[in-house]
Amino acid sequence: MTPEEGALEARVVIDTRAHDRTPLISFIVPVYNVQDYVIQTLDSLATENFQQVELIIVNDGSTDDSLARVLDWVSTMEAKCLVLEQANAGLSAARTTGMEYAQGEYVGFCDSDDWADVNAFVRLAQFAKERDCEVGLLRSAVYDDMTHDTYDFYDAGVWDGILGRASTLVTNSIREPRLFRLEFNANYRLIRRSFLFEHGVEFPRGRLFEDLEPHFVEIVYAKRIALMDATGYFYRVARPGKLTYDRGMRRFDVLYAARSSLKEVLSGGIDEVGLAVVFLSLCRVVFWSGQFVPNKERRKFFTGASEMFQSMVPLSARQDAIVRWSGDEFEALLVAAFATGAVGFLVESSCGNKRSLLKAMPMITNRALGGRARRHALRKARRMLTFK
Amino acid sequence: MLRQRQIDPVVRMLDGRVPQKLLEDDAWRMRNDLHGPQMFPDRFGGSCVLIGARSGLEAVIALRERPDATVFIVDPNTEQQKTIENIAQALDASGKLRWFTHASDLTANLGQDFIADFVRIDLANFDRVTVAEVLANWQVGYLCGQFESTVFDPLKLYRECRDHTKRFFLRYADSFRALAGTGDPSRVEVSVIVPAYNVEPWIDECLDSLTSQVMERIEIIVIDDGSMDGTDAKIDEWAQRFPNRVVAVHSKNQGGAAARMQVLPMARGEYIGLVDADDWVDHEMYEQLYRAAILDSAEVSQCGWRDVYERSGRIVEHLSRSGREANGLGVVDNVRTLLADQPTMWRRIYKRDFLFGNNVVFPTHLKRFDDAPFQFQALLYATRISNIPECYYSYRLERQGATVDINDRRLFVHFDIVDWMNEQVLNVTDRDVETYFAEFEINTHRWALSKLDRALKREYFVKAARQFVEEKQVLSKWDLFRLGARKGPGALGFVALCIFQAMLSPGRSSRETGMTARTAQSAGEVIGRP
Repeated sequence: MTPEEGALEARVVIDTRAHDRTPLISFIVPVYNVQDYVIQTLDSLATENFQQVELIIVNDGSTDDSLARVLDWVSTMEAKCLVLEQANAGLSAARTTGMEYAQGEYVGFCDSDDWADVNAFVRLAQFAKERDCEVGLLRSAVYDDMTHDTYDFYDAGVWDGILGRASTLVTNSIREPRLFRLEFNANYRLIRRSFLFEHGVEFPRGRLFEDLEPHFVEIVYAKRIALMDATGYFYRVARPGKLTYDRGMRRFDVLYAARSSLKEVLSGGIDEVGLAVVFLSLCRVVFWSGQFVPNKERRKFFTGASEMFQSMVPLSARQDAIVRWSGDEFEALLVAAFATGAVGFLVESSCGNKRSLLKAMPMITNRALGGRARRHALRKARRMLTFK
Repeated sequence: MLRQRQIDPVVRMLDGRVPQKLLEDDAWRMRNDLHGPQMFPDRFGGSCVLIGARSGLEAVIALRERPDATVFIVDPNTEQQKTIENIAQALDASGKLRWFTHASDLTANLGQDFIADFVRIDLANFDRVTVAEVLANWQVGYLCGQFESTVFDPLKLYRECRDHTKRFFLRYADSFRALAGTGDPSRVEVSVIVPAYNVEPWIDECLDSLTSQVMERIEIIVIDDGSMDGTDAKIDEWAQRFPNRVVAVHSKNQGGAAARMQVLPMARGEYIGLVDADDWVDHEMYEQLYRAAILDSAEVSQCGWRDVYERSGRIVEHLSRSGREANGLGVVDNVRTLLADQPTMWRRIYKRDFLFGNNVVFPTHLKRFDDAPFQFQALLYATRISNIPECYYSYRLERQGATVDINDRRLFVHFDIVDWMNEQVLNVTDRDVETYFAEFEINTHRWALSKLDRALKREYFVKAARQFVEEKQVLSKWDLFRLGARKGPGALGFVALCIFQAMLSPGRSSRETGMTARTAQSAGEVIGRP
């Protein structure tokens, strides 16, 4: 599949919405072969505030019983729903279609095998509207479908850091560059609809990591971002056949997404501090997905990634990411490797070679990195050697 | 998952008016998901039934967070009724709270088929009478609570909940472990797939052992792979005798892998078992494997097996002890350690959704030993495997026509297997997995070389050496050498000779030299060692 522009032909199956008033939130729910999960998702989005919430369900050419179950659900609910149908074109295309039909003041997304706490989203929307925020964020949690455990999402530490002890916070990326380090998923946030169109936020069609670029666009352009200390979104993990586990060449999509993210934040006038954090979070995403790239292609993958970073991120931001923003030892080395093009280290670490520090020598001895960042990386490397 | 902030204001409302200890405990429970991923009715305007009032915290939070829901409290002890009702009134939700002393009163009041979207049963009220009342008379959307595993057999409880609720999430009283699942009253628990090719003398014993399983909801799918003896007629006979359990499928001869792939989509079971038609199983096997898989929420569960030598009558038991506990029971700690084992896929059951979701297949172009790639994929993608030690599977050896006994060119199929694995499965890999696969290769090639006809040994070894050394994605020659050293002198000798051989004649096209013949000769000696 190649990314194409423009909307797909979508058919309105049923529309129970009132068109005379603007709802507070439009939830867009793309549906593709999730007959066992979709009802739970929709149930979680139904609320007493059905005047305030509209659901836009986009059936992305499911081949199972999903559409019938959705229609059955819609017919029994008071909720305001629009059900659309289109030929299978992937998550991004379905979201794009949904966005075109949305009427709400804020737009949210919900994948059809996860679920949300709609009341938390309504409270967030009210708060965001009150404080004139373009973007609102809620915490997310993970439900393991196999072990039945529920736990905070991986970015909980970033949340704790940003919120401090506050229960709500209005901020932006200049005051709080750590916002870039939040998970890039589109599902735990609300975005003002006018803002979406003004900044042309769109999900690249037919690619993985479709959420990456919109995340950075939203954070860099929003003047006010509302954060609320409540869990709003629940990811279901360990469901067999979930998209995230896709192995193979499609992982190269992350490079495309990272490049366009960088372009966007640079043209959005990001400052050095923010850029360092963007660079750091992109390093993490790229390295993580590199572990799923075929081994034969991995050198090419990491070479491409670090060349991109070296050409697009100025040296001072790269140094800053190593010295000021990286967390543990490994993260510092990872960022240093991307910053200097120590591809051997990246390839070996991505194969799980714990003794790959030898390959880290080019980056530690790389004079271009500058004295302070070099000393920092060296210190981290030494600590890793002594502790592991 | 509620955050402290959502709980605290309600705790303050109740503070001093209800037992302090219960209140603290309830606050902890709501923060830590004692009742699983759900806390309220998932349906708009639904009902929330709390059997056992406890401190009332859950009821008040439900009234606050979900004004659309109706809260029913069932508790014979009405001490706190006034307090909680007063708070409900203060919240302007008094019409949304109703109190009953017994679950049966609720049924009597609201009628049978009462839709209970969310039911929480407290440990003190989790008895047979209450559970029977709830499951038999209400339509339960989500059931949660704590149960005593000395009173309720977990598997039995699981089955009851599966048949009578939409979803359930119950915690063991003595641990934080959960017994959870989704409802499906007609679910087949295990589908057993049996490909049969010219096995007339043995098929009866096999199918007899399968049809007399303790497990009730089992289906047996037998596929006759174009047999030329009386196998097909026998299969039909069994299908007629057990129309609800046995499905007979006939096809032209296509090999075990293709036969299995043909019937896999037919399997309806939650788990899938694979049995060879010349083997047999104990009547408890699938019940026990299913119990292990369900109670450990595992994708795969496995048991021990016994080798039965047809000619000598010798029986060798292989207890399975790979679980986490000291006695080998329970969840396997590091699933990957199983990767290098010999293929024994028939001693396991595999979750159907797991196999399909990860696209675990039998490569149909392989004429034999297709179980090796299947097992490697299944164990590679599995994250939780449950283990029970007992031997339930009887594996027949030394029978006529069995593939395990061949010693000719047909053993060269191993190169196709390794090629397929390298292309399809190990194209994305890490050091760990490739090391286990290399170990698997060493075991397989040494076994094949020990079986092979003398005249073919040299050719086999040359091929094996090249493939083994040159087609590694991550591991270097030095890594392979170290692996051999770790595995013992026989393996080390094999690896060393392979590396030597590969260095002598690199590439697929090079010719064999006198030197090669000698290395192959000594390889044979190394391999000959037990």
